[in-house]
Amino acid sequence: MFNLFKHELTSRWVAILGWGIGLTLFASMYIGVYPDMADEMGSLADLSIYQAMGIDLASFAGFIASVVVQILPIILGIYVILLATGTLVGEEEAGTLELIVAMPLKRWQIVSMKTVALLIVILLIIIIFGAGSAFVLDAVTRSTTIAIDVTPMQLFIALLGTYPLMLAIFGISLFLGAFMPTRRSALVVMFSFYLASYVANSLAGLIESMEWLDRLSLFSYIDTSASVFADGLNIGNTSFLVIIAVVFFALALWSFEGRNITVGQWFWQRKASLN
Amino acid sequence: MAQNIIETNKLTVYYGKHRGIENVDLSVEQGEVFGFLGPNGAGKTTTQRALMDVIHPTSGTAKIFGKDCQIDGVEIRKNIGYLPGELHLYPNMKASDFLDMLASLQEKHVDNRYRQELCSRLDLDPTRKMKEYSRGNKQKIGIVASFMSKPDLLILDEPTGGLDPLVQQTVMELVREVKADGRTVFFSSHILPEVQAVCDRVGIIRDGQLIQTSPVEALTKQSFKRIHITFQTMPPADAFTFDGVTETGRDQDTVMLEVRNDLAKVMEIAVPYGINDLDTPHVTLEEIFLSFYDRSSNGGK
Repeated sequence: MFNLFKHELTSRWVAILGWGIGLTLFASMYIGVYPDMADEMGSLADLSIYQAMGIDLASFAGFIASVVVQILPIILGIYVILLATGTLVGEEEAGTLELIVAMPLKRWQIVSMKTVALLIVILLIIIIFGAGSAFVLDAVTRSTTIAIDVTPMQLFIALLGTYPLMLAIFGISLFLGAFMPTRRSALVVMFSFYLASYVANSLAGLIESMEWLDRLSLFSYIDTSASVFADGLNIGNTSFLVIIAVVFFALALWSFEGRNITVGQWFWQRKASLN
Repeated sequence: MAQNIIETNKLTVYYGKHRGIENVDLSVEQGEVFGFLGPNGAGKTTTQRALMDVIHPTSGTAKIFGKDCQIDGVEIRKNIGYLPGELHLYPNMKASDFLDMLASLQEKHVDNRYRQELCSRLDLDPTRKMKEYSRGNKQKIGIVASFMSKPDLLILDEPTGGLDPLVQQTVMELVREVKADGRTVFFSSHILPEVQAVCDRVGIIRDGQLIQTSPVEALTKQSFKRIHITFQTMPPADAFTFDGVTETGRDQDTVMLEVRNDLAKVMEIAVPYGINDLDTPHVTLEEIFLSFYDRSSNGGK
C-alpha cells in the first residue's frame, strides 16, 4: 500500500515545486514592491474596490496579510480543488481507478492513502511558499529604510496557518469527487461554493448589514488582517476548519464506499429501480 | 465433482433504470478455462466488474472461492488477477514502477523471475514511461500485472485486444499454463480460434441475460461455414435449397451460403456454373452460439 502512497506523492513533485516557487514569486513581487510605493499605496487604502477584495493598503503588515496571506492561498485553493476532485472521480473518468479498486484493498484504505499523500503535497507547497516568502521578506527588511513590523518567522507561521483552510477545501472537494457523478459537476459545485464563499467574505467586510454572511464563508475562518502576525493562530477557527475537513472526509469515505466505479451515477441511481 | 470457483445466483445490475445484467446464474469450476461471449453492451464487462466488486449488484449474489464478492471482496481479490477491458495506465509512471505498485497492493508474493519471464515472453521492455507505449504494449503490461502473482483465478476482459498474432499465441500459451497448474481462467473474447484453443466451456450473454453455457466441443459441432461463391454464370435461386445449407443472400454474381453439412454436394452443384472466386469469411463463436441458440429456441429447426 505504501507504493500507492508513494505514487500519489512522487507523481506530483513538479506541481509541488511549480506551485511552491510560483506562489513565492508572486509573493516576492508584492513584498518587494510595497516599500518603494508605500505612500502611493497608503493613499489608495480607502478605495472601496480594495476594501471589497479585503486588501489593506494602509500598512505593510496589513498589505502582506491581505495579499500574501489571503489572495495567494485563494489561488492555491484552486489547485487544491482540482487535486481533490481529480483523485477519485477524476481518476475514475481517466480509467485508472478501476485497476486500483480491483486490488485487495478496502475502499476506505484507497481514499485514506490518497488523502494523506495529497495533504502532504499541499503542505509541502505551503512550506516552500512560506519559506520562500519569509526569505524574500528578510531580504527586503534588510534593504529598505521603512519600518517593517513583520518578521520572516511571523510571515512563515501565518502562511502555515492557511493550511487548515486548505484542509477544509480539500475535504469538501474530495467529498464532491466521491459523491457527484462526474468531475465536471463536482468542479462546478465546488467552484460556485468557493466563489460564493469569497464574495460573502468580502461583502461582510464591506457592508455592516451583511456581516452575518461572514460566518458562512470559509475564508472568514483565517485571519488575513495585520493582527495575524502578532496574534498567531486562532485555535477556535482552526479547529472549526479541521472539523469541516474531517466531517467531509468521512462523507467522502461513505460516498465512495457505495460508488459504482466506472459508471458515474448520482447516489439515488445507485439503488436501482427494477420497474 | 470439481469445486465452483465462481458462482453467481440471479446476479442483477441495473444502472438506474437501465439494464446491465439480469438474473445471471453462472458457475465456473476449478481448473477450467471459461469463455464469456456476447455482443457489445450485452453485459460481459458488467458481470466481470460485479465479480471484482468494482460495481455493486442491485440484487442477487456473486461468490468467488465460496465467499461473497461484496462481503469478502478484499480476501477474494488477493487471489485474483484482473485485466479490465479498457485498460488505462498512469502516463508518467514507468511500467516497472507500476508493476511494483500493483505487486505490493496484491499482497501476494510476486516471483520477480516469473515477472521477468512474462515480460520477456511478451517482448515487453518495462523500463519506459507508460505514455511511450503503444496500445499493444500497454495491453502487455496489463497481462503481466494480472498473471505475475500466479493467482488462483484470472478474470481477463478481451486479453488479446490490440496484440499482434504472435503475442496472442503467447497469451494463449500462458492461459494453457494456468490451466495446467489447476488454476482457473474466466475470460471474454470474440475470437473463435482463441476460444476453441483454450476454453473448456463457453457462456454467452445477450441483452444482459446468460442465454446458455455449453462445452466448446458441443458448440463447435453445431458449427457452420460461411461460403461466398462468385460464379461465371449464376445458378438458379433454388439451386442450394436442401437440408444443411442456407442461402443467406446473393448479388449480381455471388451467392452467400451457410453450410452445416454436405459441403461436397454444394461444390458438386456449384462447379458446373463456373467458379470465379471462393471466399470463406470468418464465423465468430458468438455467431455459432447464437445460431445454435436460435435453432434451439425454434425447436431445433
